[in-house]
Amino acid sequence: MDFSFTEEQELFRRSVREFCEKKLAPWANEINEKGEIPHAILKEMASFGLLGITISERYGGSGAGFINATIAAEEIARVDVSMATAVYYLVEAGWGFLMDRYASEKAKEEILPDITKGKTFLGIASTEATGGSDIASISTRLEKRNGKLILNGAKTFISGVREATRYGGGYVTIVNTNPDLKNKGLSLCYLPVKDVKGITTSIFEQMGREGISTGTININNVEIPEHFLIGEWNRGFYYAMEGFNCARTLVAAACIGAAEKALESGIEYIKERHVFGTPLAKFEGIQFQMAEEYTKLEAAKLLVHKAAWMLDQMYAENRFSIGEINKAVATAKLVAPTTAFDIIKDVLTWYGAYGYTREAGLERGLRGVYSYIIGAEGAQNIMKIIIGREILGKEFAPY
Amino acid sequence: MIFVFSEDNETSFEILAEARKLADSSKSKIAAISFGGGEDDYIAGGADIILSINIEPHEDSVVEGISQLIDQYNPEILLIGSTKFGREVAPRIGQRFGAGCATDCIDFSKDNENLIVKRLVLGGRFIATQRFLRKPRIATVPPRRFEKNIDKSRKGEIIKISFYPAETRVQVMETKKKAPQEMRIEEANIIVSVGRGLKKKEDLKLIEALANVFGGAMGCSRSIAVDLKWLPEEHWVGLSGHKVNPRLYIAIGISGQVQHIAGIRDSRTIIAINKDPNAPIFKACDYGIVGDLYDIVPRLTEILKKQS
Amino acid sequence: MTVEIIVCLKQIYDLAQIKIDTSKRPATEGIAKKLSDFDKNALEEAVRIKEKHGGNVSAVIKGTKDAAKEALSMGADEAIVYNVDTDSLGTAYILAGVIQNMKYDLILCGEASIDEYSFQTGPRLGHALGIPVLTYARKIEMQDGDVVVERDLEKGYEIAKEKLPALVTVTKEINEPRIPTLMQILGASKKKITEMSPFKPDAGVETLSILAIEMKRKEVIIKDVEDLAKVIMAER
Repeated sequence: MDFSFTEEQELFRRSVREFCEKKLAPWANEINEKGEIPHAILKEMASFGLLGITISERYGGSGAGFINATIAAEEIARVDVSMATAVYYLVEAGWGFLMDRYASEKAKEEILPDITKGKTFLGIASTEATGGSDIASISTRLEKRNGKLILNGAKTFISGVREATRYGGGYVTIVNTNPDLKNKGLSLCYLPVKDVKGITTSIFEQMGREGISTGTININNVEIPEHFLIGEWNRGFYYAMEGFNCARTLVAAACIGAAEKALESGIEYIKERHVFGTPLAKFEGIQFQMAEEYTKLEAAKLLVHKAAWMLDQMYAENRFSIGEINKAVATAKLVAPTTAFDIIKDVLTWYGAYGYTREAGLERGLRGVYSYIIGAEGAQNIMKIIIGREILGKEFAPY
Repeated sequence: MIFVFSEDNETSFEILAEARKLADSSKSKIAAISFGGGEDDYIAGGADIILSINIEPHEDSVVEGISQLIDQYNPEILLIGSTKFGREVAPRIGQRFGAGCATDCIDFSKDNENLIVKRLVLGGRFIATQRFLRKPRIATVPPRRFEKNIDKSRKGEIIKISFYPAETRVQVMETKKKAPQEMRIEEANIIVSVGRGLKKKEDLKLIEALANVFGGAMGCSRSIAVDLKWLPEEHWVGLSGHKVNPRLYIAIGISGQVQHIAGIRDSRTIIAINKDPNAPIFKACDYGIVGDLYDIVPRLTEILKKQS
Repeated sequence: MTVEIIVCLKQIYDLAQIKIDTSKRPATEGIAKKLSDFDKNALEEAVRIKEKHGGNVSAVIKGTKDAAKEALSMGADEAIVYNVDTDSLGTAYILAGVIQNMKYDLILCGEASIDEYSFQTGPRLGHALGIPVLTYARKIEMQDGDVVVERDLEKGYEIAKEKLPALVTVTKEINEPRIPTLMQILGASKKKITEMSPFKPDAGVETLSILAIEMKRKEVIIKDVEDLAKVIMAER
């Protein structure tokens, strides 16, 4: 057993940290205030190899495994604790990987190079008005008519709608291809959204992660070429679960990155800040809280790193069953967002009135991380259902 | 014997004064080395002998010239001004004689016969005490570190040395004047920083003028960068802005909120100018002066300009 | 013409992470190490010269193997590492011993390491190898068999020319070192690293102690602007 990162992984972390501190950190305030990540920054991230990092080299990616992808997610969230940049990064890393694995060669050649260049955006369109986590009830229909693929329906609470309609790009979209078969009647396709006939979008104002948009995509008789079908017809549920495992691991990584940065700044602050002539850090009320939060963070990190490692082992060495992977990812995704939320909340409280200001930069972390408690990339209770199902067996599943 | 050399005249005098203390304690003599003439005052500055070489100083000729003098006089100690020029020639001479060299020494003392020096290391947060294992003991001395000590009544001897160096291989094609440089505030040696005490944006030029006297960077408190937006955020010093560690941080009209103090903690020396004697910055500075910045800063700039 | 370049680098502690232990000494345990900043400028410049003129970049590094990996990720073609602690005199002896058996046209060093700030290695090594030294370069041009540099001196810039082989030390203004990408890091794992264990040479200076500078502020109130000016002159 070995808990250390390899020399290359340590070097990569230092590299990403240097890149993020130099190139991304100066924009963190503006990303939060203006509600967008400047396209120039995205392109810079792309030329550093961060966007679509898991996509293979032939499409301009780095072919990164999930440990390296996790390292990058943590580092990005450290400098933009609002989660906006991390969200942009991780949906592309998670779902770009899935496209690379299952999309047609023609689709990959058309779509992926622009993603890895930072020109266009790739997201995931799963949630519908009836709910997000219960994907078996997805009703957006994909039908074959005269050798063409026609889509109808609507997706909502979708990350990056403004980015995708502005820069171009599209979504790995979960669609219903056979209403009688429930899970087994789902398929995956790529849906472009910029200047596409039959696509209309709208944007939500959100409570957090302002730097990346969230919106609705209405799909009305949209025709896509046949090669945009991802993988096999009616196998979409399995692909989607696989993609969610990838993306959820990176979500958990982003949460611990933001939490780690917050805790570090909090520790500096409590040593510096004096109350009644004593540093805050000397008060047990603060010191014990710090010790507890540090411990929780370490625990969450181990779960996240283990999940990433298991994914790499699965893809490279064919180890672990899907069930084991599902369980490991679900535990990481269950623990990391709440842990991050608690840590940021405590640090904000240590900061006192200053913590409540925008300038302290903590409240945006709190709001950003909260999106992952609510359920982006899978609600917390869904994680519990997955863990329960894997431990107790399918016969105890509530659905 | 102690050799003293700097191509910068002021620095020579400063080193001579410090060398005098070392020489007096061990009854040795000081030889000031001069290139290209104009050296007479070195006796008044503390030298016993002036070794006057008849050529203009260039890196190669100085290395060659001083090395020949070392062969001839066998000095115990060689002190060289820590200018860019001096920092190049000192180690080259050291390598030639298989001797060590301590750069930018800020303190000299004697331990029996050996020379003990102190210098800043590890980002200026630590001080190293070092001694020499072989001779000559070579140290470079930062300009403006020591006060010169002129005594016109001092007597000494000038020895003229004719020296014909091998022709230098380096060919200097052109020299250009320098424009004041933009630097990242984290890397600045000196930061002149301003806060809410400044009344209007145009007055920033007072602060800039002071910073320009020694090529320092301009910093500011949160209110100047964030609220008033008089300076871009690159200049914002503080926990949420930039954490800095200059040799000298001058806080002008900055009250000293905890976030600001945390950002300047690692500065070596902090100077505060503020009209409120109860401002917390006075509890976090090394030197403070109570008064109106509009009165103090222009006067200070004038005095420093004259001395630089 | 192609250029054979050797770059000398030193691996140092990340200074910002160094803490002070209870006996006021620097606490370095568990602290990440990295290549010293200006040395990275030297390596970056070497790689750029190679990209323009062709040739080979060898990194000679004082440090551990991961420092070699960092240099290779940044574009060095091969790396030689050794890890012997000594002073500038000893360092020059070691480097000269390693380099004298190598082929080179140009040797690049950072002007100083950011932990010691001694500014010695470049000038000493040039002397030890018997080649000319040009210090504080903020620009380097190769011109058929010559190197032309713009030296950043206190009062101005000096453009100087020298026949190869020569040693040049660079300032941080010369370029912005590339940050290695994942692909470059993984690609570097195929490049050659030679580990050497040279004898510990004679040193010229011995460090007796390294202690934290007392952080207690003096809190001296000065009345007169003239006195304030004196303090500033002394502390600058």
